[in-house]
Amino acid sequence: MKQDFFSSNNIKHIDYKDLDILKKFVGTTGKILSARRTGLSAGNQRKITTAIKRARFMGLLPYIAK
Amino acid sequence: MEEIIHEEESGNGIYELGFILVPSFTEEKLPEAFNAIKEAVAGKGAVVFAEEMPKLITLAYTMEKTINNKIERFREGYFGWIKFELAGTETAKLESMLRLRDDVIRHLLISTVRENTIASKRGFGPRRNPKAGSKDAASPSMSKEDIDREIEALVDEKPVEDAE
Repeated sequence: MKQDFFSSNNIKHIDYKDLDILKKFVGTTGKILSARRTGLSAGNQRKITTAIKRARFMGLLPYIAK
Repeated sequence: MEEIIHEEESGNGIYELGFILVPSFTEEKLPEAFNAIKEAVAGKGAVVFAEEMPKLITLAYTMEKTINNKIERFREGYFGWIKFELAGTETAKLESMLRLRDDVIRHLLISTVRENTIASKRGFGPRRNPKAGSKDAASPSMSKEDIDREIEALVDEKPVEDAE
């Protein structure tokens, strides 16, 4: 089975407050990187997307970075 | 795992409430505001088991909130969170109560797990370590003669130390 970032680091839950991790999966303009770029499994890509959107809502990450 | 099963049996869920408080609080009044939110949550029958004191953060964008019929704009705020166990039927009441509070700019109530979910503090990043390991592995490629010389040097040093 192919290993992604979260399964190889044994991370089961992706927290929206975990900005060090979330920043790895957004581009310089603040957009969420595609699954093709991140190499995540479909389930983990959905989890990271949810976490990034929650962090944006709470003002921890920008919707658009200039 | 046992705890999660217990929660399901009791009919309660584990929730996390993240919130941003207005930045106008002083350091003395901030704990009071935080405790007021905790008490409000506990008033709904919640059992708080984890929390983080609000910290002043710069918001990623300007947020607006209507306070006393006036639109206030915020560039920073106190971000804090609490984790608690609560009956699922009480969450809507809790959210409507938070919406009415003037000191809460924004809040987020999510379903979560009892364990700590912040992984970055554990230390990760195996991709860099193998490279570092390969450098270390390359360095001990000393010849036998070099090793012998080092051992001899150490042996020679010892009697001097004894003499002293």
